[in-house]
Amino acid sequence: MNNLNVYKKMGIMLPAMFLLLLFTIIAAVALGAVYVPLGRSFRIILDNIGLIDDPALPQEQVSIIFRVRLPRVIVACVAGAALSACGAVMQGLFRNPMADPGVLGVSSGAGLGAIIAITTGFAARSIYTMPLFAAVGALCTVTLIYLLALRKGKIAPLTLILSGIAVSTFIGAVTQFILIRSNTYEVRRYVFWTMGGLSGMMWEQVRLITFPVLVLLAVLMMFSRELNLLQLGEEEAQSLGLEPSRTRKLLLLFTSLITAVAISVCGPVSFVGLIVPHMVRLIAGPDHRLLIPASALGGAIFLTGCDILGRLPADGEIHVGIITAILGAPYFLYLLIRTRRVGGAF
Amino acid sequence: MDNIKGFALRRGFILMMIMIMLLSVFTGCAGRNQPDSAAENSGPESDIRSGAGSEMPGDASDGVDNGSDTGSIKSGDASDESEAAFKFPLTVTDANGDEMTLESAPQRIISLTLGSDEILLSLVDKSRIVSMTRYADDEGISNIAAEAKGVGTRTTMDMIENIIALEPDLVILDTWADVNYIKQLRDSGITVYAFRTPGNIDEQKAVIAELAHVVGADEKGQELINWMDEKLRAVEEKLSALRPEQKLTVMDYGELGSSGKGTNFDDIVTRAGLINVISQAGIEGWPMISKEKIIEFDPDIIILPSWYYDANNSFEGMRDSLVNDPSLQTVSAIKNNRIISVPNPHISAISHYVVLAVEDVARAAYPELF
Repeated sequence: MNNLNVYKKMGIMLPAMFLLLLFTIIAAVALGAVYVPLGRSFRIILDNIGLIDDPALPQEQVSIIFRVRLPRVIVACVAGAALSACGAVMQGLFRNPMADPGVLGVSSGAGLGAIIAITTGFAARSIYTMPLFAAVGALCTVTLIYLLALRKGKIAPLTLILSGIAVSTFIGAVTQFILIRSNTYEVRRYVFWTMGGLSGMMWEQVRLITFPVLVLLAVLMMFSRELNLLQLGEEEAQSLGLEPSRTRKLLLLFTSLITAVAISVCGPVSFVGLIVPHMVRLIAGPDHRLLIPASALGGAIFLTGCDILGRLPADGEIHVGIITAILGAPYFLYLLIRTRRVGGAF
Repeated sequence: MDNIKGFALRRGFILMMIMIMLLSVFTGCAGRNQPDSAAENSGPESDIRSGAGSEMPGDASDGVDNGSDTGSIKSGDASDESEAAFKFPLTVTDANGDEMTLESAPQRIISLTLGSDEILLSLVDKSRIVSMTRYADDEGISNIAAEAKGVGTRTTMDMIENIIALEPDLVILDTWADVNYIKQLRDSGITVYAFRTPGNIDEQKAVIAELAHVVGADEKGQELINWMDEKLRAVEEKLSALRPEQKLTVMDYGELGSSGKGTNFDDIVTRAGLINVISQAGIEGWPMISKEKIIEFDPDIIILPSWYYDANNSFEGMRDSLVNDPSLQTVSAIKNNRIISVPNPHISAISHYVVLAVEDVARAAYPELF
């Protein structure tokens, strides 16, 4: 490992990505269904955080910028960062470039929670019920998969992935069973939820996810060195003083927590956790000390950017999960074909 | 290696600090963001706009093309506004249990369901409606396709920014609406009223009375309900000669399944003197009925939709596929060629127009009585 090199790269890449993120955020606040001049958008934000006092601002534009657009952009950043950083960690953890937080059944569990919240009518009572049900569903599923893969206190990655697929399929079927017994409106709500969307995000959601996600991301970054060692293989890592199974357990816990928090608020946004870390890895290289923060920034840029695209159509927006998948799936295929041609590991 | 770990820890600490700072900024913003008083919203601009409503003459609605005497449900006229004047401020509780106070009769109303589009257009002056759903213009599902032309703009539930920009003083939606959207609108100082989608005609009347009350047009609402009662009574009279043992059985068969107990369809066909085989079997809601069950239920009449989500489907296509299905040849409706269709805007209506479906169905089932 060439530390100096990594730090140098970090010093260039992270500030550059941060600037790009700022630019994306400004664009995201400036663009939307209703035109508000950029300068006025800034004044509205400054006015609302108490830095200036301008009573002359038109009230409906204040609502649009400060209550609709800004919280949405922040949720996009936080959720994008969460999903993408988790993807980077999972790929390192399983040493499998196709791993993403979805392997652990987080999405399917959250989906089951969501449909239960919808059909029982709890979702209509409070804005917190859907996130709560989705998060509980996600965490229960992860725990189940984890317990299935646990043998003599150790986790076998292959068993984990396979039992993840099996449990996800089972839970998906339970969800569909409930769906077929539901009425059209409920099915609609669920389908829209599975598309992953950022419309309807408010400061409540921002508060709900920002703190847990940022804290857990910081914790993930502290495991960069261990993740780097894991890349050398189980035995090598062990000989260098690492306990692979303990590290793996902790990282699984943290990534599932972050993913559950992000998904509970904005639905299972597909492909962010898969493609962004790969794109970042092309530039940043495999060192997790740089890869994790860069993936987080990249995810924030990607999801916010996709959301801008989704909001552009004037006759109603497109859910952000559709945009990420439309951009993500072709890239996934490209990756798959290229790796096969080069003769990669899978 | 050690200094890497040390660095990692230090960095973790620094990051944590940054995050806590960021967080306090966010929550700080959010704290200021609690629902401000709606009163701030009423600048001089919105006063001018709301005043415009009373100058528009009542509109002679020739758009209702039902052939029969629907002339009594024309659009509201200016008179209901003077009636409203002494009732406001009005405090109401919507179907979600949320209480709200309307300071004055709403003059800039946005409707986000087709049902409320249809009801509103019969309750208030067109100038008071600033937006309706796109469905209102679709002849296949709307009873007001012609009448709605030129009335307000068109928005959907998720076009939150556009809705706020229209500066409505009342948004009407149903209890299926996402709670996030409702809260977002309310936080922006907009009054949002949610009604529960009715499951039968009596509930439909209650919803009309409810919405009429909220927009300050109680009398107009009562007129609509009276009109519905008249329509229903007329059908009842025609069917009075029908003895219970003469009643025919019926089921519907559509893209999204059939209708059992507790559905509008069930109420419509029951009022039309028919027996719904699916609710007779004790099935609730909208089940998918298998062919075996159709054979077992053996309905005298099968009602197919006149309108399909999928443009490749049609009444004729659906009918032919049933008629030509060898397994269904023993079913009475098919033997006697009684596969019928009634105008979809009526039978799917979540508005007063639903009573027209009762007449449609009764007329098709018992033509000898009409």
